[in-house]
Amino acid sequence: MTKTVQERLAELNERKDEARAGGGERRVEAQHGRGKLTARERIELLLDEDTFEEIDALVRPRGADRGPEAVVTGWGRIDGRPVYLFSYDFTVSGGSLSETVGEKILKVMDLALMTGAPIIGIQDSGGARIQDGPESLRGFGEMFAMNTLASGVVPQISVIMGPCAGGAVYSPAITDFIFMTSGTGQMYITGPDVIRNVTGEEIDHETLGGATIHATRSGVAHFAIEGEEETLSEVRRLLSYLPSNNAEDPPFFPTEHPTHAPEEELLTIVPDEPNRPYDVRDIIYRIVDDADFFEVHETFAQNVVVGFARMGGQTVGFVGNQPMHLAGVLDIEASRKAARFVRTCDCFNIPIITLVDIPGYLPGSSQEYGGIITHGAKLLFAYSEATVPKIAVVLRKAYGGAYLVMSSKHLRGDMNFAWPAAEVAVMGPEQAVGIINRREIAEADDPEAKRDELAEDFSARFGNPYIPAGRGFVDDVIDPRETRGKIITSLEMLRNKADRNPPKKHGNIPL
Amino acid sequence: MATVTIGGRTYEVEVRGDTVVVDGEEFPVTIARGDAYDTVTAGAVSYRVALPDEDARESGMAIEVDHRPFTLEYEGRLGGGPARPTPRASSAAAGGGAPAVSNVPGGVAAQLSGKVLRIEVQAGDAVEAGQLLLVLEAMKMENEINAPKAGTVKEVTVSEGAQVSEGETLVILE
Repeated sequence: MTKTVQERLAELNERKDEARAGGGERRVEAQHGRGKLTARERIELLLDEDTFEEIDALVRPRGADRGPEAVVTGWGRIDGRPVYLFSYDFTVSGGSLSETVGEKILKVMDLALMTGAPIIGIQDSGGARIQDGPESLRGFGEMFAMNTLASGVVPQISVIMGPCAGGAVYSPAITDFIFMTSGTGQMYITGPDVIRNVTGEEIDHETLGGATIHATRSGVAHFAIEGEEETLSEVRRLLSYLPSNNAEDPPFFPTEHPTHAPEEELLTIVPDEPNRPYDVRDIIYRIVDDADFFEVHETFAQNVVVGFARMGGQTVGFVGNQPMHLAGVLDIEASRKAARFVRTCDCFNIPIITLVDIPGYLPGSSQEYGGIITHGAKLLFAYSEATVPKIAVVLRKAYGGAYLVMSSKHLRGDMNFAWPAAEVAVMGPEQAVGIINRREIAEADDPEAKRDELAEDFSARFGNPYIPAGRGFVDDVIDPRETRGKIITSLEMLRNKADRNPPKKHGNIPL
Repeated sequence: MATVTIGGRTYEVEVRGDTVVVDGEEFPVTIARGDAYDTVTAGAVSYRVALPDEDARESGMAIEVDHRPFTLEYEGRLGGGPARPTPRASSAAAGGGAPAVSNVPGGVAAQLSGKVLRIEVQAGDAVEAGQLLLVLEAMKMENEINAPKAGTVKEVTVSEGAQVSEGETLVILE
């Protein structure tokens, strides 16, 4: 007997309802009981209202009559711009990755890459579906390859809202940004049970791979945020700073904040005494549009501050030495953090503003043995290689190699400004006179007093920005109050900057 | 309707439930309450806002937006009641991140090798999280060492002028 069109529609609706139900009421309740939302609820919160278009809802696991599969995929809009996404459904087979889950994800990743739109992955998965054997492994492998191809073409964002363990961690690791929800998001290569069996170490899930650990100690996560709703709203905020792909400029947000808005407080935030700390973010808030600064890696390697803001409506990336943490030195972790951020900005056509106040690289055997030479070189490489507009402001100290690395003219920096209190020197006054005047100090009746006296004299002669400005290493010495205006007009001048690196397969950054 | 002055600029503001009208333009606003600050999302942009205690909220009060201090003055009624708060805490994981860890329980370790310049607490003092414990001169900078959590100072294990190395315990809290 032929079915009527009504009957066919009824069947379609039934199948769709079945797919939307995920793992069923009981499992959805259990998911909520863990303080987690379902895959679909997360998508609704993330996207503009009613913009989700699901793809592959009717895909079923290999060998099964009916779905759904353990991942929800499709596309929608954020602030009106298209994004692709996949959201693991923990209520279906524990969100495990089967052959077909892998295929669904790869399909949307491919679409994202082809159409030049961001891809967002929401992770909440028990890992590979063991019954599927090597077929599920293939899914992971092909995802890694696709993540790698998409890297630097479209923004890739990972949101960890449940377990993400074993091979599953490496897809997020290749993406540009990792958000973790505190308390529920966990990432590790091997879990506590395996660790106990192999090494005897006792450790719980949260201490091993929770959001706090990865956002402070390992730096794996760029953001650790409490609450799923809040996490997703921060994902939206991040995207507002990024272009949809590497061929576009980031979205422009017109501002009423005047270009020339002199800030008196900029005269007093940096203490006159070179050994007094301050918070570099207090400077950033006073020069960006509407005091709005979106910090990345806020709790990791806090001796360097990185993040996004807008100036004159245009997205910029900030890199600033942070004197109030570890004296603002560059160490291994700070170098890694800043280098990664500079490269992220360069990928996505975001000008880089660097605020310099740095005593140097951190001395010590633990740094040398840890490979500060290689890691420190990452930042030199990243700045040298970047072709986006690069503007630096030397606020106070800029000594030695650390001066060079912080977006100096010598690394193809475009504009380099200095505040009147800036000192650009090979090293600090005490160290300098300790070498130049070694004998004089040793032979003095009071070596300590002699050293201080010589250092003061050295500082008076060389501790100012006019020596580098006299050589053109600093383009201008500026009134601190006018920093915002100087940066915005420089950005306008550099808008059509078209710099190019020599043709090559790719550079060989010291990894 | 109220006239609000902040950051040297004046706005006409009206609160209508979850919508705030500023100079005729409507912004949907959500507020996520946190310990240190609330996260206020207006349209596509979020701000971290710290307000004084509820009974001290009046014209001329000091507030912080994205850690930046402002004075907020207003005339008239902001009315309509506050926007509905969402119950989630919003503060990102705080503090820490430092590689050097004391090997003493409750110990606060030096993050850099340097010289103890000033000690601001003594045994028996009650301290709050973030309170200054001592100043360590290192890398030509006076680094402020703050209490990672609230507690009582059990012991100060260094003296002023002492040279300490990275990871060395400075103060023990309990």
